[in-house]
Amino acid sequence: MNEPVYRLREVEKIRTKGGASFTLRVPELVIHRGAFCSVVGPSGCGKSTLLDLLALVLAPTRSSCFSISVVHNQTLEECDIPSLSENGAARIRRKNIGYVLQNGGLLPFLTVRENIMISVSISGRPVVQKEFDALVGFLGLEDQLNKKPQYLSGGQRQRVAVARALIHRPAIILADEPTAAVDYPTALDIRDELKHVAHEMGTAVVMVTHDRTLVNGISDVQVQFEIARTGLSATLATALVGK
Amino acid sequence: MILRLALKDILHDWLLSICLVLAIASIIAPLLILFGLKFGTIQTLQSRLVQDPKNREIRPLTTKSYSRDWFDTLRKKHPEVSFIVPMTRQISTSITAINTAGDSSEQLSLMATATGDPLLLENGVTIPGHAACVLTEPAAQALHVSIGDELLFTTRRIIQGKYENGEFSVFVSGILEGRASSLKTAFVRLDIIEAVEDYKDGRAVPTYGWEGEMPTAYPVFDGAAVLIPAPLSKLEEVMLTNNTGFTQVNRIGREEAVAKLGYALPPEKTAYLVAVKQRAAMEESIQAVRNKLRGKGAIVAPWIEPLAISLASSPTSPPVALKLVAVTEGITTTDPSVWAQQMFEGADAHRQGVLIPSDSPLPEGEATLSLQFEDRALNVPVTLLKGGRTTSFAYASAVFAGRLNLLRYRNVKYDEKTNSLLLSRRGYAGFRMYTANIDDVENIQQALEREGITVHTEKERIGEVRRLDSYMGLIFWLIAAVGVVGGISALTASLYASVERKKKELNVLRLLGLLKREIVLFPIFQGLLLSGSALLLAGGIFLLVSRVINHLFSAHLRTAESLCALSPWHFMLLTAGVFVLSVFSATFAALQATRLDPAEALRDE
Repeated sequence: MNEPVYRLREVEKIRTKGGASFTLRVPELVIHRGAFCSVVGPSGCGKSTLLDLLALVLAPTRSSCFSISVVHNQTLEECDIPSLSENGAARIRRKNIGYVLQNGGLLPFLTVRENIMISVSISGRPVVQKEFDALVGFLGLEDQLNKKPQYLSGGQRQRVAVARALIHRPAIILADEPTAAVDYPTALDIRDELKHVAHEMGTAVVMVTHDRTLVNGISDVQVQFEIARTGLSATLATALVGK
Repeated sequence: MILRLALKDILHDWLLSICLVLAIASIIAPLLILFGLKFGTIQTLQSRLVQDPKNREIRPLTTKSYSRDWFDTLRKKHPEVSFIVPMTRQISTSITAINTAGDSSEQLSLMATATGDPLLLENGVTIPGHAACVLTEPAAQALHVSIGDELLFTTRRIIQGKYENGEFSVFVSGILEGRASSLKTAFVRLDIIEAVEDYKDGRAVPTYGWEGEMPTAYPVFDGAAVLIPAPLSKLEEVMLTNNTGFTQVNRIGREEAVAKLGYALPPEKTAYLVAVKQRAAMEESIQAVRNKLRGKGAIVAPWIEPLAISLASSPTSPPVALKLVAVTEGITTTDPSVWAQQMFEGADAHRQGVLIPSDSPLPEGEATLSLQFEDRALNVPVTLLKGGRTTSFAYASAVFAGRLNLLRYRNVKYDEKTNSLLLSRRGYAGFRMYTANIDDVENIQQALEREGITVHTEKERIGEVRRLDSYMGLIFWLIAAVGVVGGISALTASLYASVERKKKELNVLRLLGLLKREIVLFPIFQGLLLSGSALLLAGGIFLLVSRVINHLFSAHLRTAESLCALSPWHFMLLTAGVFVLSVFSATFAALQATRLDPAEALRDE
């Protein structure tokens, strides 16, 4: 197996909302380069919280080990996530993480091409035309490049989002319910494309979904949650790694 | 990149962007117009209304004699008096004006004007020249005349029960609009009014060829020189001051005599100087002294304090300064010389003779004599004769020297037509005065009333317009304040709302890894672009509207005036203000929008 990109041990995040407290506990999670990791569970189980932690937008409440390995000056460097500043986290994110949002999260004022290329300008990582063409061709977006997202179907939008997340060759792709807004066959396509591309590029994919059937059997790592009520208004969700 | 993204977003949402631009422009444009009016000529118009010459006018209520000196002192003492012109008696200003082209005639009253008269100038009329007049609108209407027409002015007097008419013609150089005066008045130069008054008083006015009494200058003396064979007793000395009009008798020595009389005493004579204090002596007083000394072989000659004169044979030649004294035939017989005959016989017919020292550089013949007292100056043509014995003294006949001596007390002018010295006017019965500012009116009124001059001012009206002015100012600033506050809140609200609308995109950009300060730049650029275009639009609207306003009111404006105008400086200030406000509200809104963690903010959608 490849070297790990994420290493989590005893990471805990407590969130309180309207008097109710929710605790997510991750006893142990290691995600390796090129792995396809699925996070499944019903809504409210802590999938999104876990993804936010991995996306460096949410800081853990407690952790004994929580690190991300990134390539910095051509050497692999392991960063301790809780000690990152907001801007530091943003700098790591722009170079190393591709994010696929539930509804695509495309910018409506940019064309498909511009939406894809924005990752390139933000990350500052140059992309050759061939790579771009290959990626776009693989996702079947050749004819849509000059359209604005509002003229695309849900599936096409999601593919554009995948392209945007991949174009700058990040080490990690985080996909937050990328198939929630599309029909089942399209969802399968998108899943396959994600898995395929990740495999090709050696990218770790963390895909969050509530649909277990979509990822069953194809994940390298699968995270599930065990929910326990620990008090009147306190919930503890423990993320368990399975296969 | 952020700027490009911001611009693309604006173009993408072009309809909403236009709405925003229109909204901001519609806030700014009325404010611009309001301030444009305030800083444009509306202020001038308003101050023109407030500072209307009518409100600044001060006129005496009682007739009194105001000397020329009084006018001079007043001008010096009160620099806040911007204009003052003397007036003659009310009764002598009425005149009949006849339209020479038509047949209309009308009784007008004359009003003196002079250079700088605000009543004419501030109503856009130029000051009339010497043979011109400015009519008030009612007067012009009654006479059916317009600018450039000729009028015949007739003034009437009764001399020994007979009516006489004096006429002169003037052309109409301007018409004063109705708001300036509702009376039928003709504004003319002061000398025309003086001439009319002189004529009505029965005097001659050579300028217009009107006959009458000449105000000939009369000789005045400062005393009498008494040359007597035997010294006078104390009693006789006292007698000379008794009922003669003189107050002092002083015996003068030989050297003193040269200095005071201008000539050496004959060896066998004793000299006395009989003089007055402060006042001038006339011919009668000298005659009285002559009578007292009858039979004593005394020569009594009129005496004047030597006058400092200068003589020049031509305007280009350098003037020569001399002291002029009076001589009489009695004196000259004691000091016989060839010039006496010429001086006294040939003199009055053509030119007055003046005897100058034999060694004077001046040639004999025609010359101009000049003398000056305070601000009164006089130039008279004379004929020079040589033969005087005393250097630095010139001699003239007692009558001529006495007339020149009158300049010490009164204004005397030389009239070429009659070849005589004429008395100028002593003073004036009234005046018309304007202060520079309405605020000065009260001070001047008080100062004049301390002098015992009751005056009429537009005190009540001044109070009214001042109140009106301050209310107008207050109302303007209230409107402006409401407008500015409304503008600020609307601008802030519009930009805030537009950022709020962009919340999702901002958070997507954040997830893609943009730093927070880059995220904040996005709405700031958008705010600047939007408010910048709104400014341009508002500026355009302002220019258009101000042009329309200026065009509509162009009839009421002088050239180079515009009713609605703003300086580039104002625009810069406005731009800076709007931009600062845009940046401020966009930053605030952006920070507010990115407060939540981005993924959560997106999920909340």
